Amino acid sequence: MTREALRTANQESEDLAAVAVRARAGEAEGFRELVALSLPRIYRLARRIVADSDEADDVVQETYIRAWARIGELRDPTAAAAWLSRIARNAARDRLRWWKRRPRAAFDETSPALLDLVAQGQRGPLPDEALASAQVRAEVAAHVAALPDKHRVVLLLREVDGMSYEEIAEALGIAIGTVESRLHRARAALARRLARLAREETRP
Amino acid sequence: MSCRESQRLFSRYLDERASERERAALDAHVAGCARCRAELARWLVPSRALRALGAAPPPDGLAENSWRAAFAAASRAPSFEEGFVWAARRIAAAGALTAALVWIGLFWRGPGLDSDSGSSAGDAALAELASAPDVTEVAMSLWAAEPAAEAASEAMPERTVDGE
Repeated sequence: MTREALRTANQESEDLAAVAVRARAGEAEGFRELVALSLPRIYRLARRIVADSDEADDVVQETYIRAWARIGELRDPTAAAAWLSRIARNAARDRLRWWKRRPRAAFDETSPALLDLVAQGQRGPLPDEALASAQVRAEVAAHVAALPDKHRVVLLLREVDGMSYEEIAEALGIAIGTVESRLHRARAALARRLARLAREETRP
Repeated sequence: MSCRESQRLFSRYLDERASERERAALDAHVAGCARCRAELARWLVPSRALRALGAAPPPDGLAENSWRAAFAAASRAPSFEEGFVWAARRIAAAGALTAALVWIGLFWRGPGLDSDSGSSAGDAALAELASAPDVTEVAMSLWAAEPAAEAASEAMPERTVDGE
């Protein structure tokens, strides 16, 4: 994390603690500000865990319903972000228990655009336009969806949301070393899948 | 640096968490190893493609919907005091009903038990039965007491929300 990013994170944490104190005292305006300040991180977390934007909205609302109902249980306002993240994780898991009974979309096991990019990547820099193409997005999203949940969530929080290892550790309630190992395994799994697809493509 | 050592660094390398020394050693190894260069490309491409997606901000109105839902749920949920009154009322009602049933079971003699004898004891039992409150009346009187208790609990102040 850069020094500037660290300063911003510390300021956010202090602001959150200040409004958490007011919310804990039962002040409705304090809770409104707590929601506004914490919403981006809670939304990111919910969205990555449930992997669906509509479901994420419901998880976010459920998180704040539970938070307001139990605001008196927030002992340390400086840990408000971790406390809200824990509530969000539980709300998301409750939602997933129900959601996993629904069938998931079929996975398309071809990735021509990604394999083209891998070939280009060995020769030189990757073109930004190609990385942002709809085809590449669809292919990479399909591979990521096939990862185990705990690897997928860490990978998306890091790559898509740009969260630091420290922020991910706080959001998920895990050690920084665990963040590092899950990221490594997620990326290794994606690389293995691409290697297998490349072998299948070259097979006569 | 071996291929295994270099690949162990890939993830930290992509996140710029490898040390200067590790980074230099990895760059040197990959420059001379086609296998690791191909492997690094397979790590790099999904990473760069995911970063190109960009994070979606929370939808408009989600913050307001969330705090409104939280306040609405809190106003519906019974407070601790209300919950305590509710539980105490039901325990009292159950106790009174049990006592009434026990009393009826101990002292009530049904018609026909002593009627054949035509004795004065039978007449006394019938007289007692006539004066005893009916079980339905006991239950009705208990339920009739509830609206008064509910009115008392509604009069209790709830958690108020500014602007709600």
